[in-house]
Amino acid sequence: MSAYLYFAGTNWCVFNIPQAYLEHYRVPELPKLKKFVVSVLAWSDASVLGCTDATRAAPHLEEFEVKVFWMQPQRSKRECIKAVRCPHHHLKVLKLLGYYGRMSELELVRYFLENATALEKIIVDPWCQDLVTLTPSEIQEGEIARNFAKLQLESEVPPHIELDGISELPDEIVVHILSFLSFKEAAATSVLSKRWLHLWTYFPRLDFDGTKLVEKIELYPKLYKEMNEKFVRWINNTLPMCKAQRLDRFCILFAIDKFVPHDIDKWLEFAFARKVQRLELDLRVGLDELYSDVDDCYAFPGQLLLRNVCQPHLDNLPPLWHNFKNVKVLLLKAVNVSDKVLEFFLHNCPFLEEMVVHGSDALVNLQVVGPSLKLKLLEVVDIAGSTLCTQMLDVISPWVSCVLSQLEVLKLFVRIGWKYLEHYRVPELPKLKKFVVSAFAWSDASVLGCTDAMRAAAHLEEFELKNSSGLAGHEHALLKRHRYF
Amino acid sequence: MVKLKSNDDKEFEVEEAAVIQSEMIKNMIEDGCATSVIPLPNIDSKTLIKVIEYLNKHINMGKAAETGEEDDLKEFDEQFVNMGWEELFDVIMAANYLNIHELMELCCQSAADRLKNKSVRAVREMLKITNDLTEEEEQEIINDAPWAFEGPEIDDTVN
Repeated sequence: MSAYLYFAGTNWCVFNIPQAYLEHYRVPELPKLKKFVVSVLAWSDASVLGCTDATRAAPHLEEFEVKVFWMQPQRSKRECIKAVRCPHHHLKVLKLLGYYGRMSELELVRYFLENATALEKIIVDPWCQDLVTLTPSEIQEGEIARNFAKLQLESEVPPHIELDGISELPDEIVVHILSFLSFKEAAATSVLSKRWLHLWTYFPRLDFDGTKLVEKIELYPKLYKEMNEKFVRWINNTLPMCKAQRLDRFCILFAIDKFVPHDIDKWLEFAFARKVQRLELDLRVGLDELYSDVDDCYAFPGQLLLRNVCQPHLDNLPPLWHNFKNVKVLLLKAVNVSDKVLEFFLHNCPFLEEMVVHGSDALVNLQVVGPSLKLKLLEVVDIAGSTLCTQMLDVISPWVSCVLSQLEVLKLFVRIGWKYLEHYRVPELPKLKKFVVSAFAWSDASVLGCTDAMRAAAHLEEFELKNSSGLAGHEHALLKRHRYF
Repeated sequence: MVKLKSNDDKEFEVEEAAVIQSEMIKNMIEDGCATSVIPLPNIDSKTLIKVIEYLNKHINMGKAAETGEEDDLKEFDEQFVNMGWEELFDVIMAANYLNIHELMELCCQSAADRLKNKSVRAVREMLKITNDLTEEEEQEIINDAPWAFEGPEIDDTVN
């Protein structure tokens, strides 16, 4: 009896009664009850109309909520049962969480449509548990249930009652709409409602742009350590949330001299495992790359690429090499890349269109024979060291025509002198349209050597020369523009 | 001509050149499954009229570039997506069902543009989202990914 007294005074209560007993259970008067929540474990499609008895005991009820927890639920085709009529004059909101589209749920809706004269809103949601714990197949089940709700309820609910939760777009379309926003904007939608909590995690373009943090460091160098940790934490905390199976873009922009290589290795592994198309790794954003010290550069983890290629059955892992097949754009700045790594990409990425490498001092003699027929832009800049020119040219020299003949843009940065260029025989570049040569203007030595390269490119349309002095004009049949800086 | 039937039993005649922008219908025609009327049980007539308007305007898209009609088409697209949320969602669902890639991209882009820089309150109101999170849960979500909620500009209007 004490429990009854307790009920009578409260205006909110939760029952926990086995479903079969519900009908025989005499609910005491609940004159002040405003909200009533019934949780149901659904494995059969037995009627839950018994719980409406309880609502009769609460004449001032305003909100009725049913939570259906799915336990391999079934949609049966049994007849609809009706409960005894009883008008509810104050009930405004009916909430159906875990709606699965079974007769037992439909019966409830019909009962309240008939009896709740003041009903304003019916909220339907296929999920009633914490969304974070849902598996993809459960999410799919939920979408099917949502469609069921739409089919079953839309025609039954009169227009003056708002039906909430079913006219929404399916998750996959919402995710597609989100993909037109920035990563940050998409992530901010997580706070809209439970349904939205997980939607942004399927976002396909992961941009970790630390430019703003770098600007802060430049203003307040003392903040370096703090910002550095913040940036690493940001990525490490965010990646486990991301569920996209394929990444269109993975982008890390920051400025670090001594970074945590172990973390970056993991990030790259994450990106490649999700068949990334565009990979940007710029570890010296906003700083002048020409003057920075390359010794502290992060070294691209060659073992990441080569591990499973060499030993496909190692650890019983599936071969990883097909993960690289989708790479279209590879941009590595202030990253030490070895010849082997670049050769790997040129050889294994049939869709590679752009490859940009800045500030790597690990390139010595790049040998490329690969099927990279789509390569349109190649940019190799600032390979440090005093023997730069010869290195650079060695880099190019073995590149057989299968790569260079497709090239449309070629950018070279030369730190010292031009005299080596004159002795260099540039291979044929029949498709080259744009050729950019950058150099320091130390002396007034002639740079005419670079015109040799232009001769090899019969269809050159644009030639750009940066930071130089004393270029004598060179007539080129198709050359439209000269640029001097 | 191809006949399409909406779910409220209205029939529309559309030129084949226009209608094959829908991958779904194109496949049906190629497979010989489109001999009489094509029923579209997921699309009401109001939405279908919009979709057909788009398809008719976008016939021979490739030619537009040559004839200098690009600007005209762009203007049409801008006008076309100037509709309410409900209508926009209906067109998106139809474009998705009929598999009309360009229309899908146009409408989703428009939907995303409307959400840009809007406050949480404004987005909830625009999309009619019932907030079923408690204040503590909301705070927890923000604490889990604070970077997503940084930034000064917030637009609280729902237009």
